Order: sequence, then structure tokens, then C-alpha cells
Amino acid sequence: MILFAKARREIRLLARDPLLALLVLLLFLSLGVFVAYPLISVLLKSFHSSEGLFSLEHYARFFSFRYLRSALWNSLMVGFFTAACSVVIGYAAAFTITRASVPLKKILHLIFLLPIISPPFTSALSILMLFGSNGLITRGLLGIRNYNIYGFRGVLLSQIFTFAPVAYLTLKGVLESLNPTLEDAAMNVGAGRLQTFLRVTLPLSLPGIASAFLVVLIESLADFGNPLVLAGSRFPMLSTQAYLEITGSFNLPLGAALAVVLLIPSITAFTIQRYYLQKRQYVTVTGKPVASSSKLLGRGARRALFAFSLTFSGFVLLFYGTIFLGAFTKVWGFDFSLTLRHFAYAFSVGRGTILDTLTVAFLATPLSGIMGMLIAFLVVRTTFPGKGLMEFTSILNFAVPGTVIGIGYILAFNRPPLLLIGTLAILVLNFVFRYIPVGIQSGIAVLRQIDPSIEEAAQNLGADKLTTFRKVTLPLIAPAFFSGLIFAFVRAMTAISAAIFLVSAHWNLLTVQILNQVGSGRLGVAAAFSVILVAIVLAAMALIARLVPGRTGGMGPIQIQEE
Amino acid sequence: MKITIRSITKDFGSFDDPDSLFRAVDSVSLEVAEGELVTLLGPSGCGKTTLLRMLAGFEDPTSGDILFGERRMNDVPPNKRNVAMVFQSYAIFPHLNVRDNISFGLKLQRLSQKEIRERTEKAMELVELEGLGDRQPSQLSGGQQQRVALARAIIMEPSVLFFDEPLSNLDAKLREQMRIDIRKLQQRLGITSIYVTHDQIEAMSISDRVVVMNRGEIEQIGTPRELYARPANRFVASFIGKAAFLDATRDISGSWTLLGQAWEPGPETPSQPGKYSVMIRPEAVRLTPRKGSGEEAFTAKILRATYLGSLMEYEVLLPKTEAITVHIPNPFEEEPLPPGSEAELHFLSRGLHFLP
Repeated sequence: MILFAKARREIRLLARDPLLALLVLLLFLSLGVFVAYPLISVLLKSFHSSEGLFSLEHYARFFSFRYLRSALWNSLMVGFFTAACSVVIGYAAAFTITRASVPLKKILHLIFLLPIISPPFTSALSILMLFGSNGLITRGLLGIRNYNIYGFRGVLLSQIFTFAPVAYLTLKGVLESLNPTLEDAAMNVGAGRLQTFLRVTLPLSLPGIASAFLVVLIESLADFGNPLVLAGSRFPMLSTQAYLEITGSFNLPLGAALAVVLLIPSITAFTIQRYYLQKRQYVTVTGKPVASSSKLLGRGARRALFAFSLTFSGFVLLFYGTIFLGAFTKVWGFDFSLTLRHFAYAFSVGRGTILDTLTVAFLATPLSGIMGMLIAFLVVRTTFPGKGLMEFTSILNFAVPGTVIGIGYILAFNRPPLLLIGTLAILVLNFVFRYIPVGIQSGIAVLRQIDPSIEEAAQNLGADKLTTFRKVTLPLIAPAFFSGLIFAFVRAMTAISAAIFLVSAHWNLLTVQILNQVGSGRLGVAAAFSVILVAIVLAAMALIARLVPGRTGGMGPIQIQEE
Repeated sequence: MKITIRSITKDFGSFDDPDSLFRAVDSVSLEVAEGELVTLLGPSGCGKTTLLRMLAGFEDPTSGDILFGERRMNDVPPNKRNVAMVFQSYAIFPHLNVRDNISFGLKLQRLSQKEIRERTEKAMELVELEGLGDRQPSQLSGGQQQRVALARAIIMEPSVLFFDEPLSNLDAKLREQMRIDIRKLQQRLGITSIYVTHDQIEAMSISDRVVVMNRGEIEQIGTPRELYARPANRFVASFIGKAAFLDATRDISGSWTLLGQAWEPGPETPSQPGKYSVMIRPEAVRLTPRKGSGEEAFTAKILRATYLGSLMEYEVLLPKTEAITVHIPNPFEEEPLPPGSEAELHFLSRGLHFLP
């Protein structure tokens, strides 16, 4: 009874604000159609027998075939090792940037971030070019013929370079928010450097480390590009296998079943990360981050960390240099004379694709940004029935691998009234709903920091609700909004896993094009496309950075929150 | 403008637990006269801030009426009430400089540039912020932020001014200064004001009248002097100043007994026979070294003596009761009574107050 009374009261509040009620209804409807419905479609399809009845036959098949079973095992193994290595690298790099007084910090930071703004299989491509059978290092330098980089080694290596930056960014935030006076206090009562690190810094950053581990694990499980390029047929992995079942063997139900199997560890990791770890982060907020004391590091440790960071950034640069060089090289591995013909080819076959990609990204980015801010605003500043459900649904796609979403979309939108297969709309909608979680997360974080009495003060001075939002709330959340935009744009430009199911002859994407070129062995063209893609992303970031209002008061920097 | 509050009630339902419906304000009635400064005083959670937020329009009353002058305000949105508020957190707009913060409300009224500029300068002068107009909020000290919040409120020339614990984030010295400044400004502008605080000294020093609240209800309304000298009950007595309570009995013949001893309390005593609780303020007690058999005097044992400069604070133990606090004005050269010794204790009859 009382529960109903609460819902009734909330509905009454909503009824007083019809605009709000309409907005809530629209958001629920669109989240239901574009987030929940595709997932439910995958689930239903996986239980769909050939006679159209409920059956477990596809799961039975999954468990009886060793090849399919090993896909799960392989994905998990790669995931755990990638996460572990990424966290170690990310922690060391973050520690160097936040705690050590070493030169080149700014440049190192930017180099660490490079992989985040690149297509997720850039490192796979350069690994092929460096360590493949015609690789510059394996064949050119070491003279090894037919070196086999495919399989566990290759995927692990390329995923580490793809996802260590994600761990780095998460852990940098964690280490920055740890008050360095705690370390000073430990040393003040007689703890040595190592003791201080082991008994204060490390335990305090442990929840952050676990969180970074799980985030990388989720990303690794969902990764599609690197496995597709480097796994090879003898090392099946879940995300690519689901794709191959559908596009190669046209076995949709089995693909759906594989997607569900992939979904389980992802959702588990996400749930632990979000509902268990996030509450255990020790964030010691004391206004602005204080310049960290460097006393924690002795000379040896400082040098070791610096050398480590230099090495890692050296590898990142090597990978990008390889791609860049490859784009201008006649035949990689045999003829290193310079040429522009890959670019000429890329522009001749790919002009339409470049335009398509830009269209999709420019449509999806603002939509996703605005929707993210709206949901964040509703969640933080209003009450309505089902608020928790809305927040959960809207951030669910954070954890769902792109492959699953892609399969969901082709299952859900292949018949009227929602016949969207092959259209521009399905690509845009897919990106909008996949990347709103980021906008929502950063929006919620910023709004929670804004004292509600600031908005009340505006109303008190005569501003109505709309004026208050326009003149006070909006300027305050603008920085977060724009960094959310940058992120959504980067993701829309570089995503592959869901998009590969949704492209068509009419609407193609650059990332898919790059994969096709890799598949047909034209590494030079693939490299040229990658260079074009990264150039567009950098140009767009510079553009958005210019549009961001410069006046941010004393609010401190607002970070781009990464997946 | 006169403010009338008629049996206002506010219920909150906890979002997570619908069972815990919670009554924050319980049928409170109050009238505030034109130009008066009334303080809502009480411990945290007593409903004082909720009451103020209902007056400002940020919370809707569950029942009851709010009138500004003769006009019922219940359904008037906060931006149409012509009230100004100074928030506990100051609520300075972090993206605007001092001048833009102060002129925020005027700009919404679409006044001429010239008028906005003049009134902004005048308001900044009133709160002594001249020359700081271009500063960002982050470059201001706590006291300066407080002044910006104050200027932003008074520039609106509101009919009513609200203060929600405006000084609780300042250090003690600054708090004292701002208290005086706010009172001066309020009297000069003659704006009807309601001030919320949990600090009894602040309430006493700034108010025409004080409303003592507890658990959503009003315990007593009165001038600071009335509340201190004639508190309505134990809660008010111990919330405003220190007080000890001793049981006393008056028999039918009119003789009094206190602590099992005959007692002559003085002229102003209740005429009804019965049991009473006598409120004793620390400064309404005199202590003298024990001479021998002083009739009329009580014997007290000194537990602790603390020198506080302007006064000497004793903790003394009376027979059959708990320890009470005694304040003796600056003793100058006189030696304090040593702990452990016994002393004669007299109550000043004018400092006593009888509660049923």
C-alpha cells in the first residue's frame, strides 16, 4: 500500500510538470526500443529451435563442440592476461605521471592517450606489419621466415597496447585523488618509502586497481577488431566467432547463443565494478589536487619508472610510426620506396565511406551528448517512478559487447514497422545508444558536484526553471558536455564491433573498410585509411576544443571519462 | 511586509523507505511584523530550515497557509515571490564574476544598463566589496563570498529577506563581525527578515524576536531577554544558555523546601502549592568560603575550578543532586576556592525561574 502511495505521489509530481512527464516517457520508450528490445531479441533467438519452439539446442551445441567451447576459454584467458598486464603498465605509467618528478610528463601523457583515439585494431595492424610473416622485425631484422604471430600471443600483445591506456587513465584519476598528505603522514611517523607505498598508497588504490582491471576485462571481452585480425582460425574467440557464425554460416541462433555466453562474464564484471567497487573507492577530496610530493620515490625507483614509461611510449610511437610509414610505402616488407598511391586508392574507393563515416559521427555525436545530459539531469535533479531503472538501462550498454548489440540490432530491426537494416538511421541510433553511458556518467558526476542551492539561488532571484537551466546549469555542465561530445565522436569514428553487422552497400564505415583491406592483404591501403581516420579524429577534437567556452570559473579540469 | 504563517505542516517521505514518513514541520503558526528580524533557532533537524525553504518556495507545505502581507503565497513559484535569500553555502554562481553574480537578478528584470550598473555599484559599496567586481568567486575569501551573497540578495530590494545559517562557514572572529554588519544593514534597509541558525549567541545578538523550535514544533517565541529569563520549559532553558534544574516544593502554608532543606526563595514565587523545578543559571549563584553554621545557605563541594578570564567557572556538587555549574565574575586578586573544599552557596532570587 505504502509503496503504491509513493509511486502515486511521484506520478502526481510528474503530472504537475507535463513537459517533464513527456520527456521521461519519451526517454523510457526510446531506451526500451533501442537498448532493451535488441538485447531481449538476442536472448529469445538463442532459445529458438529450428522448429520455432523454445529449446536449448544451441547451447547444447556450444557445450558439445570443443572448438566453440575453447572460444569462451580463449576469450577469458586473453581477457584476464590483458587486464592484468594493462593494470600493471597503467599503474606504473600513472604513478610516474602523478608522483615522480621527471621531464616530458605532458608529452608522455599524450602518447599514452594516443591509442584511445585510434581505431581499436590499429595496434593489430602494426603488429602484423612488424611481426607478421613479412614483418619488418621478424623477417626484415631477424630474418625469421613464416613467423606465426597469430593466436594468443598476437591478440594479447595488441590488446595490451589498445587497453593499457584505458587502465592508465582510470588509475591516474585514482592516484590523483589520493591525498598525498597521507603519504607524508606515513613517512612522518617513520615509514620508509617502500613501506609507505605498500601500506598506504597501494591499499588505498586497490579498489581503483580492481576497477581498472574489470573495465579492461570488459573491453577485452568485447574487443572485435584485434581478434579478427590476429586470432587466426586455430584460436577462436567469442566475439569474432559469433560474427563468423552469422555472416559465414548464416547460423543466427547459434551466433545469438554465443553472444549470450559472451554477455555473462561481461555483465558480471560490470556489476562487480559498478555496484561493489565504486562504493569502495577512497577518494580524499580536498579541493584542488595538491602537487604530489615526490618524496615517495627514491632516485632508483624514479629512474626505473621513467625508463619504463619511456619504453612503453616508445612502443606506442613505434606502432604509430609503422602505420604512418606503411601508408606511404609501396609494398611493406619488400619495397620500401615512398608512394602516395595507397592514399590515391583509398580516396578513389573510399571517398563515399569517409563521407558516410563523417555523416554518422556528426549526427550521432550531438544526439548522444544531449541525451546523456538530459538523462543525467533527470536522474540527479528530479524524481519520477522508475528512475533507477532508467539509469540502469541507459548505462547497460557500457557493459554489453558491441557484437551482442550488433546481433541484437539485426534481429530487432529487420521487419516493419522497424525495418532499419541497411539505413543510415540504424548506424546513428546504434552509436547514440551505445555511447550515452559516457555522457550520462560525466553528466551525473558534474551535476552532483553542483550545489542545488546554486540553482535555487537563481530561482530566488527571479529566474524561472528554463532560465535557470540556461543561465546557470548549462554553463556549469558545458565542459563535461563537450568532453562527452569528444568521446562520443571518437567512438563513433573508431567503433567496429557492432557496426560491422549494420553497414551496407549504401552506408559503410571507415573501420569496416580498414578491416576489409587487411583481410584482402592490402596493408598499405589499410594503413592509409587509418592515417586518414586518426587525422579526422584529431581535427575534430581540436575543433570541439575551440568551441568549448573558455570561462570555466574555478571549477578545475573536468576529465574525459573513458570506458 | 508582514509575514503570516498559519499552521504549516510539512511531511517528507524517505525515498528508500516509504514506511518512514517523517513530519519535519508540525502545524507551526507565526507572525512576523514589518521590518522585524525574527530568528528560527533550534538543533539540527528541528525543521527550521524546512520552514524557511517553504517560505522561499523551495518546498511545498503539506498543509497550512503562508501569507506575505495579505497575499497567500502557497502556489506562487519561488521566482515570483520577491524574496531574497542568503544561502548557507553562499550558492555563488561559479561561472560568473562578482559583478555578474550581484547583478544576476537585476539583469533578469531587463532594467536599463545604467540602472543595473548604478545599483550594482551601490550594493557592492554597502557590503564593502568596492573594486572586487572583476574577481572570480574562486579568488574570494569566505567572508568576501558571504558579502557577495548578501549583496546579490539586497540588490533586489526584496520585500522579505531570508538567511539560512549564513555564517556557519566562517571562523569565529569573522562571524561576530558579519553578525553586526548584517543586523546594521537590515535595520538600515528596514527589510522584514527571517534568519535561521543553530547558534544561540547569534540568535540572541541579531534578533528582535527568537522562535525556538524542536522536533518540528515551536517551543517558545519571545525576545532574547524573555527567552533567557523566562524560558517556557526545560528545552528552551537549556538550549539558550546553561541551566541547572533543582526540585523544590511549596507546601500549603507557603514555605519552600529545596534539597531537603528549608528555603526562602524570594518575592517572585508561584503562589500555588506543589512541586516545582527551579531553573538556576550559573551566574545566579554566589559561593563563599564556609564559615561554620550559615543558616539559609547550602553546602557545596567544589569539584573543579576553571579560570576563564572574565569569570571563574566552578563545578560544584550539592547534596542529593548532580553537579551544577557556577559562574563567578572575574575574581581579580581574590584566591579561587580550591577543589575539594566546601563552600556556602546562595541563590540570587532574581535569577531563579520556576517551571512546573
